[in-house]
Amino acid sequence: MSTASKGLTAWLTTEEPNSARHATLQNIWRVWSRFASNPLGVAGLVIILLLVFVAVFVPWLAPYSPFEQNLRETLMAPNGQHLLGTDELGRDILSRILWGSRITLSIVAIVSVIVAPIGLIVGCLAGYYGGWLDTILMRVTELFLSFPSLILALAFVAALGPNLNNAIIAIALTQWPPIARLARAESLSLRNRDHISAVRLMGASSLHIVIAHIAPLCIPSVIVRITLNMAGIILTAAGLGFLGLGAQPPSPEWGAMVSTGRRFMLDSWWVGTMPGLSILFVSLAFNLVGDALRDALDPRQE
Amino acid sequence: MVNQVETAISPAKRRLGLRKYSRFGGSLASVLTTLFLLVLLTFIIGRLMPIDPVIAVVGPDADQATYLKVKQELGLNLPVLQQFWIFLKNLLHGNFGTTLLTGRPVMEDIARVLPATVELATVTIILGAGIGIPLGVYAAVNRGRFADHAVRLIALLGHSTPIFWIGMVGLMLFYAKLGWVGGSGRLDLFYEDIVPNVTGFLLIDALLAGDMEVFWSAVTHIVLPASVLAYASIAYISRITRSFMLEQLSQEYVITARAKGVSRRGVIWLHAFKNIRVQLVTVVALSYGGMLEGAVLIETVFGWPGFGQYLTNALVIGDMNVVVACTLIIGCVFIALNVISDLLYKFFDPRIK
Amino acid sequence: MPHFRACLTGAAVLIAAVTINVAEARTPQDQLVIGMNMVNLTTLDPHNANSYESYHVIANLYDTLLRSDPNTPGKVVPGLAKSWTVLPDGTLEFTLDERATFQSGRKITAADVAYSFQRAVKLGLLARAYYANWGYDAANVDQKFRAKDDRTFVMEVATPVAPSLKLNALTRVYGAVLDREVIAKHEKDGDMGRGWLASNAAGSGPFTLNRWNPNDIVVLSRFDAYWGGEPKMKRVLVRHLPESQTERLQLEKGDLDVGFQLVSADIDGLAKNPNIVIDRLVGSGFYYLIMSTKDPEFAKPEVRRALRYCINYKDINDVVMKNYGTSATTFIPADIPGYIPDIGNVYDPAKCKQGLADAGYGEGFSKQLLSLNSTPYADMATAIQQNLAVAGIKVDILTGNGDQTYGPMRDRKFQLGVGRTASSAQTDADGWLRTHVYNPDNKDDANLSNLQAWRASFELPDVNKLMDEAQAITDNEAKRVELYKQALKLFEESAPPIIPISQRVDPYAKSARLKNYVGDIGWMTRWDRVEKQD
Repeated sequence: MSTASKGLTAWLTTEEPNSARHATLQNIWRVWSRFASNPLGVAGLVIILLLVFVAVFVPWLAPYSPFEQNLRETLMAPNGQHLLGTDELGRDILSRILWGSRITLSIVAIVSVIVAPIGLIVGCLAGYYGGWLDTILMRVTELFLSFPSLILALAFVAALGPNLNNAIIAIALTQWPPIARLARAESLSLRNRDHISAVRLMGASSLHIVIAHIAPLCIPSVIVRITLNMAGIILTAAGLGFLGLGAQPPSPEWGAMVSTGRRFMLDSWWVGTMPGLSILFVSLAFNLVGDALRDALDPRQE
Repeated sequence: MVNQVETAISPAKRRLGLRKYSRFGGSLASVLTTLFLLVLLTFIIGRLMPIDPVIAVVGPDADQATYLKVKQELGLNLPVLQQFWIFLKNLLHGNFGTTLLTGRPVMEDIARVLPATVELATVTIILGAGIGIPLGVYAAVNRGRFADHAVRLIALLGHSTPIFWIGMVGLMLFYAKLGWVGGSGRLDLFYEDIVPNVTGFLLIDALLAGDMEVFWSAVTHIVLPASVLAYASIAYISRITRSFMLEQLSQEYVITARAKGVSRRGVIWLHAFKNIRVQLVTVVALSYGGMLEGAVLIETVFGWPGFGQYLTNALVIGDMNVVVACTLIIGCVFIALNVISDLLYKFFDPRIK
Repeated sequence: MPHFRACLTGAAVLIAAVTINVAEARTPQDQLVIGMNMVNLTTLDPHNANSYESYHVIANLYDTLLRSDPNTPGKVVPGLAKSWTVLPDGTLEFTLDERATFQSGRKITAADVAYSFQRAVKLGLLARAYYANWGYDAANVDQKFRAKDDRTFVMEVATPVAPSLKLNALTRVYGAVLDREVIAKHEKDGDMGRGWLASNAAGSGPFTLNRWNPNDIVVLSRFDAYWGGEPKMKRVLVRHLPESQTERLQLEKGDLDVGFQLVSADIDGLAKNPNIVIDRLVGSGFYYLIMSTKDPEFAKPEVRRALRYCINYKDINDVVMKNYGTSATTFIPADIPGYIPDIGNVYDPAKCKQGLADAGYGEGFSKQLLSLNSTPYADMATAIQQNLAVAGIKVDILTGNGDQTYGPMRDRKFQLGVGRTASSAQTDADGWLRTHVYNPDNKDDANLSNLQAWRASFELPDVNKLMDEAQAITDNEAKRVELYKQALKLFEESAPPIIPISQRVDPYAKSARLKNYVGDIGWMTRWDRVEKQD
C-alpha cells in the first residue's frame, strides 16, 4: 500500500507527464497539495463532508422526527433528552437542524446545477460570436448584475410566490450573471487559440465549436467560481427564509427557524441561536474551502 | 450579499482587464438601454406578483362590492399593456404612482424613508472603511504571519455570518441584557418628533437644533445596527485592501525605495498605500451601495424605519408600485455608483490615461 | 504600526463612549407611548377602516354619535348625542350635545351627522356593508338620514331591524361624525374627501393628527379645546413595532407605556413583571377551521362530522392559542344571549377514526390547508395537521400572506383553511351568527365573500330564514334570541364545514404607571382620560 502510494505520488509529481490526462491529473494533484497545506481550508472541507454525511444518513442520525410536535414539551432548554432543546411546538431542535442540512445542501446543489450551464452557455456564446449577440447578452447580464443579489431574489420571490422552489429559482436567477461574464472572458481568450482555429478550418460549425471545444475548457474556472459563491447562496437562501419569503413552515430550513426563534429570543435563546450557528458554520466552511481553493489555484496571491 | 460587491470588482476581473461598466463611462446610450431594461424588468416583476393588493386594502372580511370598487380604483382591472403604458408615462413625469395601501405618492414616501437608510449606511461605511482598510494593510504587511491569518479568519467570519442573526443576538445581548445601547428604532420613542426635520439625518438635525439629549439617543440607537452592518463591510474591505497592498508591495519600486533607505512605514503609507487609494475609493463606493442590501435584513431586525423596511413591507403585502419604484431606485443607484467609480478610476489612474 | 493602533484606540474610545451608561429610559409624564404592528393601519378614514389598529387611532380623532361604556360592554352611553328616542315605527331620533364642536371650532350640527352617515353609504367602502344590512343604500340615504333641526338627527327605517342592533353599531367606528366643511375644502372630483381623509382627519375627537408615516409612527397632539374636557396627555405617540420581542423589551425598560399584538410567550414573560399589567380584550371573532364543501370529500356530511372529532381542541387552546383566544365550541359565546351550552365541537379520536371509516375513508386522503404565515395561524395549522395525520388525513400546509390565504377562500378555491374572523365587538347574537352561518345565495357569482358559510359553499335555507325573521323582530327581544338559538342549533346539527376553535382575544400590556387606560372591546379605546402616576 505504502509503496503503491509512493509510486502514485511519484507518478503524480514527475517532471515529464506522459499524456494529456497525466498532465491534468498532475495539475489536480498540485492544486490538491497546495490546498491540503492550508489547515483552514481542510477544516472547511471536513465540515462540508460532515454535512454531506449528515444529510445522507439523517434518518438514522436524528433522534426525533423533525415535524413531530409535542405540545406538552414546548420551549425546553437543552437537556439530556433534547440536546439542543425544543421549539415552540415541542419539536426537537437538533433533529430539525440535522434534517435542515438536506435543505441547505439541496439548495446549494440545485442552484449550482441550474446556474453553471446557463452561465456557461450565455457566456461562451457571447464571447465566441461577439457582435450584436454579445451586446444583447451582456446588456442583460449587466442588468441582472446591477442589483444586489438578495434584493433581486426578493423581487423574484415576490413575483413567483414565496416557497422553497421559487426561492431556489430566484437565487439561481441572481447567480448566473457572474458565471456568464467569467465564461465570456475565458472564451474571448480562447477563440483565437491555435487548436480552435484548427477545428474551425476543418469546417466544424460554430455551435459545435462552442459546445464541444470552448465550453469544456471554461468548466474548471466556472466550478471554482461557483464554489466561491456557495456561501453567498446559503446566506441568501437563509435571508429569504428569515424574511418569510423562502422555505415555509413547518420545513426545518435554518433561516426560517431563526426567524421563528426570534419570537422567543428573550426567554428561549436556543430556538433561534442554534440554527443561526448552523448557518454560520456551514457558510464559513464553504468560504474557507473557496478561499483555500482560490489560493491553491492562483499561487501568485500568496 | 458581500458576494455581489465582490463580483463587481474582484481581483481576478481586474487582472482580466474587464471592468464591469467600462463601457458606461463612454456611452450614455448604453446606460439608457440598461435603464430601460431595468424599468421593463421591474414592471414585469411587479405585474407578475401573485399577491392581490386589494385584500390588503379592504381586509379579509370585506364584501365583494367594496372589493370590486377598490380594485377598479387601483386600475388593476385594466389590460396589462395599458397598465404598462400608464406606468411608463407616469415614470417619465417622475411619478412612481401611489402606494396601493395608503394612496400616498410613492416618491414622497421614499423621500421620507431614504434618509434613515443613508444615515445608517454612512455611519456604517465610516466604521467599515475606518477599520477595514487599516486591518487590510496590517495583514498585508504581516503576510503569512499570525496577524495575517487572524485578519483572514475575521474577514471570512464576516462573510459567513447571517447578518440578521448576529443583529438579533447583538440586540439581545447589548440592549436587553447589558443595556449598553438603545433598542429598536432611530430614537427612544418619546424623543420622536421633537427636533425639526431639516436634513432627515437625525444626528445632524439634532445637532442643528442643539438638542444633545436627542442626539445622544440617536447615537445609542445607531451604533449597534451600524456595527453589525459594518462587520460585513470590514470583512470585505480588509480582504480587498490586503490583496491590493500585496500587489503593490511586490512591485519593483517598493524594493527600490527600501533599498534607497526609505523607512518601512514610509514605504507602506507614502508609496504603496498612496497607489491603491483610488482603487479603494471604488471599493468603498461599491460596498456603500451593497449596504442597501444589508439594510433590508438589518432594518427588519432593528425596526429601522428606512428604505429596507419600506421595501420589505411592500413585498409582503404586494404593493407593486412600491416594489417597482424601490427596485428601480436600487438598480439606478448601483448603475450610478459603477459609472461614478469608473469615471473616478479613469480620472485618477495614471495607467489608464 | 502606530497608525493601526491609533485607529483601534479611536474605535475603542468611540465604542466605549457610546456604551457608557445609557440612562434607563422612562416615558415622560405627559406623553403616552404606544407600540403596535402598523402593517394593518392603512387608512385613517373612518368609513374605510378595517383593522384593530386603525380603529384605535380613529377613535381618538373622531367622536361617534354614541359610545359604549368600556366598563360595561354592551351598554350604550351618550357620545355626540346626549339622548335618543326610539319612535314606534323604529325611527331613531338623536339630540346632539350642544357643547360639541369640531376641531375646526365649528359647532356640530345634525346636518354634519346626516352627511357623515350618508357618506358612509355613498362611498361604497367598508362602512357601506354595515348599513346595507339594514336596508340603506345610496338611493335612499338622503331621505332616511335627515337633520330635523340643528340639534336633532333622524334615522328612519329602511327594513325592519331591532333598534338595539343599530344603537350598538353607532358606537363603533362607522358611527363617527365628520366635519363636512373641512372635507369640502379637500374634496377632489366628488370623492367626498376620500383621498385626503385617508391620511388626514376632520373630526371632533380629543386629539389632533400631527403626523402619520405608514409603518413608522403616528403622532397625535392634545386638542386643548376638546368639548369633553382637556385631555391629560399632551402627546400620544404610536410607534410601529412589528417585533413582539422588541415591544416587550421596551415595555420592560419603560420606553413604552402600552404594547399591542404581543405574542404569547411575551405576554407570559411580561405577566411576571410587577411594573406591567396585562389586559385582555375579548374579541368578536373566531379562529376557525373551514372546509370547502365543493371538495368531493368534504361534500359528505359524514366526513365533516367525523373531522370535528379529530382535533384536539384543548391542547391547541392551551398551548398554541394561549393568550390569543379562549376555547370556543360554537358560534355564540357564553356571555351573549342566545348561547347554547353543550353544543358544537368535541375531541374524540376514536369517533373520528370510526366516522371516517364509516364514510369509506378508513385509508384517509390528502388535502391542502391554507394558513397565514404568522403566529398563531401557522402553529394552529401545524397542530391541526398533526391531529389529522393521526386520522390518516394527510395535510399539506400552504402558508402565505393575507391575500394568498384569504384570496382562495374568497374565491371558493380551496380545500381546507384556518383563519380568523375579525370584527369589533358584537354584543348581539345577530352579529356573531351572520358572519359564520348565514348564506342567502350560494351561487358562485353571488360573491358574498364576507360570509364564511358562502366561502365554504354551504347553504342552509332554514337557517337563513330564521336569521331574517329574527333580525326583523323589533319589539320582542326574547323571541328574537330564541330564533337565533334555533338557527344555531340547526346549523350545528348539519355537520357544518366551519369549526370554531378559539374565540379571539386581544391581550395588551400596559405600564402599571397608567391610570384610566380602559380598553374597549369595540376597539374604540379612548386615550384622553389616561393619566400617569409615579
